[in-house]
Amino acid sequence: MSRAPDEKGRRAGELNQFGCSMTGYSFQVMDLAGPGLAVVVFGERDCASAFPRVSAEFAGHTRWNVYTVALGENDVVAGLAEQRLRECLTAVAARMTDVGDAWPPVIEGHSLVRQPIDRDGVPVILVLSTCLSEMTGADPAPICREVSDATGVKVIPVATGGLRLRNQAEVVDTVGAVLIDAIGDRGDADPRAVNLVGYQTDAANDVASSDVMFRAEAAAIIKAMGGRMNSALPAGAVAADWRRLPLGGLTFVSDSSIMRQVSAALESRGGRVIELLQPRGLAATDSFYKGIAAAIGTDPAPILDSWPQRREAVQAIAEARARFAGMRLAYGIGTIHNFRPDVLAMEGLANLPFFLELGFDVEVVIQERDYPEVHQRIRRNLDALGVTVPYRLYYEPAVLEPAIRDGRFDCAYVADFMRDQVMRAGIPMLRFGDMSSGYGFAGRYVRQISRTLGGLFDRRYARYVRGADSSAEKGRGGHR
Amino acid sequence: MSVVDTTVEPPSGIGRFELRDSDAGDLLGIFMGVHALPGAIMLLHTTVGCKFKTQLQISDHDWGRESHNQRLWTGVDDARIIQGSGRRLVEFATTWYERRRPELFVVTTNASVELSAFDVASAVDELRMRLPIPVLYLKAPGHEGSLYSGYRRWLRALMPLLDPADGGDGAARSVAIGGYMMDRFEMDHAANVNELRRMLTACGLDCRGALLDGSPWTRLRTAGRARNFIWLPDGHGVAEDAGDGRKHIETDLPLGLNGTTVFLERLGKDLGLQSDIIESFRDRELTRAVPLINRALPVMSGARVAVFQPTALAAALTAFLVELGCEVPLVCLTDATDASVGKFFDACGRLGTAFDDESQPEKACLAHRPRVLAGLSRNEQYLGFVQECEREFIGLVVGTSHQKALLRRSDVRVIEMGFPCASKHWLYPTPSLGYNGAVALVQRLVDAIMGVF
Repeated sequence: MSRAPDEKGRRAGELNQFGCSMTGYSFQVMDLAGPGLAVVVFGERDCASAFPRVSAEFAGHTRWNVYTVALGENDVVAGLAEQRLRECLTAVAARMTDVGDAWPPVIEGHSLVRQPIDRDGVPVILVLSTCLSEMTGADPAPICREVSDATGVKVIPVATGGLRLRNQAEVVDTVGAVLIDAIGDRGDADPRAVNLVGYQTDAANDVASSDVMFRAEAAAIIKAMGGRMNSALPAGAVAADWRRLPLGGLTFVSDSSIMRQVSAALESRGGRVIELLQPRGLAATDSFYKGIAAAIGTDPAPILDSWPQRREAVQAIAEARARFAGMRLAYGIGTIHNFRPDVLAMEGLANLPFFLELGFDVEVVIQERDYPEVHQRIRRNLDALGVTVPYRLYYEPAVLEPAIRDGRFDCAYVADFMRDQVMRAGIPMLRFGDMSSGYGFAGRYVRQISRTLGGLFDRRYARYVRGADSSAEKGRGGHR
Repeated sequence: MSVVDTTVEPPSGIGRFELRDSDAGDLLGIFMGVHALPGAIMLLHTTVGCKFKTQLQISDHDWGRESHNQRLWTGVDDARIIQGSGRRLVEFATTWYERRRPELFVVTTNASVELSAFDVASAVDELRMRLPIPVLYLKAPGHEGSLYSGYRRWLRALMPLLDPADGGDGAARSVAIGGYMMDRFEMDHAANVNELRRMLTACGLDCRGALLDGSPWTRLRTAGRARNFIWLPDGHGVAEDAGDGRKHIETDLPLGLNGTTVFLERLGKDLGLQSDIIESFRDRELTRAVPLINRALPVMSGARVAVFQPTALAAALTAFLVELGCEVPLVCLTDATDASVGKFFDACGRLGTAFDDESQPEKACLAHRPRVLAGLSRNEQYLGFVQECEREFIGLVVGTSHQKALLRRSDVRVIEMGFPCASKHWLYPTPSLGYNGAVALVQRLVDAIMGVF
């Protein structure tokens, strides 16, 4: 089900959950949908429920430029699916080409603020197929061509049904390649224009926090090195990031085994693509920025040595090592299902070097079946990643608790929905994915760990939270 | 002001392709019911994307209980569809029964599986013979139903499994509540169920349980012993033609002062309770609650409030808001295919709220009739809200996380209520139903208007 290994023997996504391509596409393109890009789900109405709505950037858009063909039973039985798709696409294309169409205003404060529609470029509609459309043999391609010819809108069908399982990495890469082809600008790539692909480049939830995000730190350091940030995606990206991506001549990817089609597309347009591990923790962040500097052709030392957030991170990490050294940490992978390349990178183990840097005694805890072939696959992947820490398996989320107890862990770094299992095991939990990147967040995340592992509340009340049999002090790491 | 009822004909134009606040079909409603019943497990015999239509939708909403362990995906893919997935279902369910020992299984399928897997029904029959627990089978194609109809189907499927009604002489006043939408294990629901029990007990009734209140199956099934079932709106129609020897009463939501009084009076009439018991309880409660609420009236009077909620809750809220002197210029009924302007106004009428009628100027002293949009897309709802704001700003919305996110840059205060509520979580027992709920709702309204936290 997964692709052939890359030159390092890695098969991206093998240690993570498989998923539905339509869902994976939706996770990644919903936030991009706007005046120039629409998404049509070619399936039943409920298929459009298979992605987060209230927690995504998408939730704040004043128009959801996302549509469902809303296939009904009669459409399927009577073979009318293609006709319904044509009706939907015609309506959406008409809206996207209607020069009189006004994008709904944003209500800011008490005022209605009109938003101008940027009509540069050809509007694009992505058509995502679903299990039902594929089961019934409804072929969207001819309809897409027909509507495209009639309206001038670029209509792109994507085979995304959930019948054939795909791993998340595969879906992420395919989405990227389709977007580059669909909306990527053509032109000469600027060799000093830097793209960051597959990093934790989320935008801030509020304007006041935007300066402290990794995205801002990276842009500032790259600028100090004589380059300029061109695009950062997919996390926090808007359509314009994808549009100008090919114009960046220097692309760094967090895991080249994930971004193989994307890398090939960029290289075919004259860009350089270099793999740099995610900047999680001090050493990894140093290494990340030095890698960028080397590619740009700059000496990073004067910049990094004087970077204030780096100095703070050095001190925070030294203090943390004294405190956390030897604590047993369960590092959980194989459960997350969010189609984020920064989470999928290195099979979810991108944060491992940071925990090791902090002195934790780490064991990887993987949601997998205990079969010989599974162990072979895991060992092959861990070897390819250079990971030497031990691992253990648990076969489903409901039995994480005994795995944690068996491992005598002091804390667990796992997906948020495992909270109840970790709580039952009587240890504190660090939420998977909470750790962000760069110098600024290295120090900040250390403080968060400190608060979680032995904050005042925890010390006083842990037994009431976790029950009388709390094993909060039973880990090999000893008393906190 | 015009009233748009889109429930008769589906919307035309691009609106019919636009997304709604919720596009969920029955599957989410069934899963919501499973989530509310510890010990029940949904066997999701569907293609893989359906996993996201269930637990993911609830995870941000419920801080009280993770529901991922109550849903097991049976691993249907193209190969299994071609070969027939029934055998897989039997093997999977049998194995997982041994691992989990659930009290109840419900097998759900989607349209793709139903189109191809003709052996699922026989597999379910086999499971019923093999396993010592009830095994339900509910088809959930994504083109049918809604969160609400799915929940009703779940309740309908549970009804025959409940204990039989108690025929004893002492059970004449026994009641159970049906159709309570228990969507999370937080203290708002605990408080609501307690408030309902408190009121029923005060009226001389013996409350045997609530469908659903988060109780495990072994306890929940005893609710069936009640001789009388009180069905809240999310359970309307569940017991139609039940013929089960019980009396079934369908009511509006007991929300707000008058809404709660109407509820109790209805029970009194239908259950043959002594009117003085009801009146005495009502007066005692109003004597306590009204002076508290009265203090807030000057702040609330004239406040413009838009409501984005399913029909029954929207009607109850609107009736209460009007009672408090608020102006309700816009109501968006968000329960998709169940949304109905007619039902909304009928419910408002039953709850004692009359609106002005432009054709009858002599009634102009009545509350201004709201513009009501039923089952429209999220884009159309927003445009409706913008249009109303262009006439006069609306400072307050009683909606869900959808409106909270959409209006985050505005000065509109959004009271999150219903589903989904990703931001508002209840650690302290705070009802929205009953007389205590009326006071608590006013507290939320005042806090929102005053902009305090």
